[in-house]
Amino acid sequence: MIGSLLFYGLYPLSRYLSDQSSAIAKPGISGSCITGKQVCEGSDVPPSSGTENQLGGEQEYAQEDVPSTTINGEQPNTELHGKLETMALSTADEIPSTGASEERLMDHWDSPVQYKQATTHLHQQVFDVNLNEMKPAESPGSAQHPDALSEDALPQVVTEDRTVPEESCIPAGIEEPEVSEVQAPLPWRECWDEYTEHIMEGKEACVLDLRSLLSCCQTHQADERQEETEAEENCGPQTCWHISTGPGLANVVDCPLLQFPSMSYYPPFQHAQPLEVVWRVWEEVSASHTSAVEPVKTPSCCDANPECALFDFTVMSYNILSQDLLEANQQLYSHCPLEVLDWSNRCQLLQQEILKWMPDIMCLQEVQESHYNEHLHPFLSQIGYKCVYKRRTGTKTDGCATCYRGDRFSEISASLLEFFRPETELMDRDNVGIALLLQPILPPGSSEITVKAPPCICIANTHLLFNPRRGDVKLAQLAIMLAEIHAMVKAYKSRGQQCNAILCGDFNAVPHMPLYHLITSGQLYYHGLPAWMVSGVEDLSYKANNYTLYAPLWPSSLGVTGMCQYTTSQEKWEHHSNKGGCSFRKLCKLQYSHGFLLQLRLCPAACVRPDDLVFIPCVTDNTPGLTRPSPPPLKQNHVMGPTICHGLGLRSVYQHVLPGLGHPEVTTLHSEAGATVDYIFYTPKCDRPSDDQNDFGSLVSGSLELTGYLSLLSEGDLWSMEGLPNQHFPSDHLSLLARFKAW
Amino acid sequence: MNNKFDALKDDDSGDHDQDQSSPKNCEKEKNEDEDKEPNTAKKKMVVPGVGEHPLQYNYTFWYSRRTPGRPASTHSYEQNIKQIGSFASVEQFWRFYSHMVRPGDLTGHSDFHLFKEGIKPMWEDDANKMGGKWIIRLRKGLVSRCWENLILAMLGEQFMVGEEICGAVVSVRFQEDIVSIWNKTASDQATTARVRDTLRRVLNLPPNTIMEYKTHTDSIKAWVDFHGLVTASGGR
Repeated sequence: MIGSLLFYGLYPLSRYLSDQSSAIAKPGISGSCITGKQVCEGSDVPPSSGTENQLGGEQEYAQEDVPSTTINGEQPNTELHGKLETMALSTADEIPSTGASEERLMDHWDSPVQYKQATTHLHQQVFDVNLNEMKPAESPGSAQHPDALSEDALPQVVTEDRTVPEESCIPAGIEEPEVSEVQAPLPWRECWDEYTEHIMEGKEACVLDLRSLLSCCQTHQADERQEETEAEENCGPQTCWHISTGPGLANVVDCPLLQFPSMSYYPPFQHAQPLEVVWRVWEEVSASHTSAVEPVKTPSCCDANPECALFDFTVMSYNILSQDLLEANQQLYSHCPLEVLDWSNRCQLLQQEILKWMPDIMCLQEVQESHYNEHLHPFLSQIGYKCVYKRRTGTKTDGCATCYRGDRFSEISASLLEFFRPETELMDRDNVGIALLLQPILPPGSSEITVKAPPCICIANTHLLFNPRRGDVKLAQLAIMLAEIHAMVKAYKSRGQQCNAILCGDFNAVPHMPLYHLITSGQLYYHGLPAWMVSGVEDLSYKANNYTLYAPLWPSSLGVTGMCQYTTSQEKWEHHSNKGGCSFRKLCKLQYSHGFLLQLRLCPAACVRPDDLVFIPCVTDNTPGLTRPSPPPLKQNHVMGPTICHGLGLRSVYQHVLPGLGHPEVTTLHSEAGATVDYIFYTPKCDRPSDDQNDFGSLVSGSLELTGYLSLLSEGDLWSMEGLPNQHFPSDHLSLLARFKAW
Repeated sequence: MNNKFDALKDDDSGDHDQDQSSPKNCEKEKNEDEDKEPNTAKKKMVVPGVGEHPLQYNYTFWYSRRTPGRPASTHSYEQNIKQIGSFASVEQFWRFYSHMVRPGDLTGHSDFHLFKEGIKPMWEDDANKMGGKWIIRLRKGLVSRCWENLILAMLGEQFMVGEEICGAVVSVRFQEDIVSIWNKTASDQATTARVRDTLRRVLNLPPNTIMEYKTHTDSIKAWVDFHGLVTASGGR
């Protein structure tokens, strides 16, 4: 319990960079509406009550929050504070007694009872807060001061009209204190280690604790987005209505809630159910429609304009959380009621979700083999899916499954990839991947309209290694996956036909970090990169045992080049790894023919005198290159330099921030953290003709157009539903769903 | 091949990762230190460089030259033999090889030895003591090309005899030159026969070339008989 209190007391310390300011703003909201103007003023004019404490950010907090509470005079609010105060005090008692070992706290997984209590309240509050993050209809305040944005406040936030219930409208002047705290995020951030003292000092400080707890719930990850996010969130949660975020979604506002805004601090536990909030909405990408519409469940193959849309299809990527892993890591789900963790319940929800969207292609991860055989495969077959399953190697009980609707696609080829390669030290983990080459089936009647058949699709599904420290392994696993895609597409394209690629799954890497960068930009200079940073899932820079990546990342015996393509001898390696015959491999694994060896005689590396070559006159003083003509240069893709690249030209469906307020999207959330780690990448239709095949062996000239996707949620949204899994979402990941049009 | 075990033990902890990744760097330094002592038996492993083609085994080049006028005792043999350098990849091999003069251009009574890393080019080495060698005597003028073909076949694992091959030697003498290839088990006739056949093929030898197999115990005996030294031993 002490540990847990510590954890939640100090957890923000490690997370404060992300978005504590949003959390800060929330307690003080209490139905207040703040205009951009006031935000500006707030930064310059600290509240009188808080002046003496301005140095300590958390003090600011506490003090500012109190005035807002009293001013608002909302009983619920104060009561909540009171409750949290008790907790905060107890927390405060504990905290100073232990060294604030951030590392230890970070590693602490236990979720204490207290925390659950606290978060219960906090969730409620977050819930309310999130209700604010809506697309507002009109707001007197903000509309009046669109020009008053401070540097921090993003224009979009302030200019956005807000729906402000009359009850929560408060004279602007009163808001100032609260606003000022929002404006001073930096000092506040730097004072996490001090705030405990102030908590002990008095009641005002308790509120601070509330905020720190809130920030737990609100942890976001996208550091690089932090600045904008922070600013937006500061301004965002100011009203008390739940309206779905996103442009054009005002019509999804959940009206019933509007009738009891004063209860905003007491959202009942059961809120989620009666509310029937449309948590996730379908976003049309095409510029012409911005309204929220139900996705086309069975997309029509051809629009009225036949030369336009050749083939529409939807792709889902979903880590469904294997029950074995759930049970092995129960501490991650201690916030969940037991019934939502029960497999039969989760399976039912999952089936409902599948039935709701009926994606044409589904890429599932963490599919437990027993559940696949007993429940999922029978179920999916019954509703028309054909499935390919690959269990992880070793003793792992789960794996990946790629399922496609048999009436929409026919399978051209399938590759089951094992990233475990006994002959390569780096590849000692049990992750797997699946690559399918699918040919779209045009419904009868449409084929005569269209001149050419829709291009076929290489759909790759993988779940990369989790270990945040092993970025090197993740990169190598990804490289094999990319090489497989490349090989598939190449083989198909060599017949002169077009082929698109879609890569999806759980990459255990957050956006904009090196691994992501490699996928989306096609290039990564990895030499010298700290291994943990590759995926960026956790900041492990303080870990002593971190190490750096050096070239070559993997030996050429892996059979994959730095360009993420198989060397020609790939079949040989596959053959060996499958046979597993040790002596056989030793006999001929690294055989080189005389001719091949001679090719390398004058390669650049061979012409440099070795540093350690003992100099013996007339014996080791030869000058190379004089005796023979230089051989033809080696093909570049045989050499693995300090850069990895690929030519697939992939783009992510999701932008990793929510439209509107710009909160980070999360695709996974458990008691420790929320982040985007799942992706759908696709080969977009290129405007400019690519001069492919030249530089990076670019092969895929994409022809996919993203026409819609299922919106994700912010961490705050999810905590307001008591985290993941919950009674709506059966996994600790959200499903990703996108619709494409193949040209 | 204990990867699997490691993987199970340590799937997501990565605690041993440090050991896996860092050796490259520290080794390099140690390597350079040790190279200054030519006869240090235990050398740290060299590793293939960036994007290079690793060899199945690491190898070490040695050079020896008989000092005129001094008896060839074990002691002087060990003193006269010099490690030139070790390599782990095709590219690294060429770096050494192309900075060495061709055997045909060597002067005097000298030898190049190319042995797997960790095996000394001496009869007494554990890997050699039960072994033997195929000897091919060449008339002058052929040795450079023949030696190159021989070692390329060895490095490229063309002999297909598992771990039997220990190394190869080229000896430049006054009247003739000799190339030989050493294997571990002289009594393994299947191996020696396969080595002979491969030699014929890769060296492009005329059918009437005389090839002789000699066990190292015979070599030692002959050497002792010739020099009359009880304690004596030595390589070539």
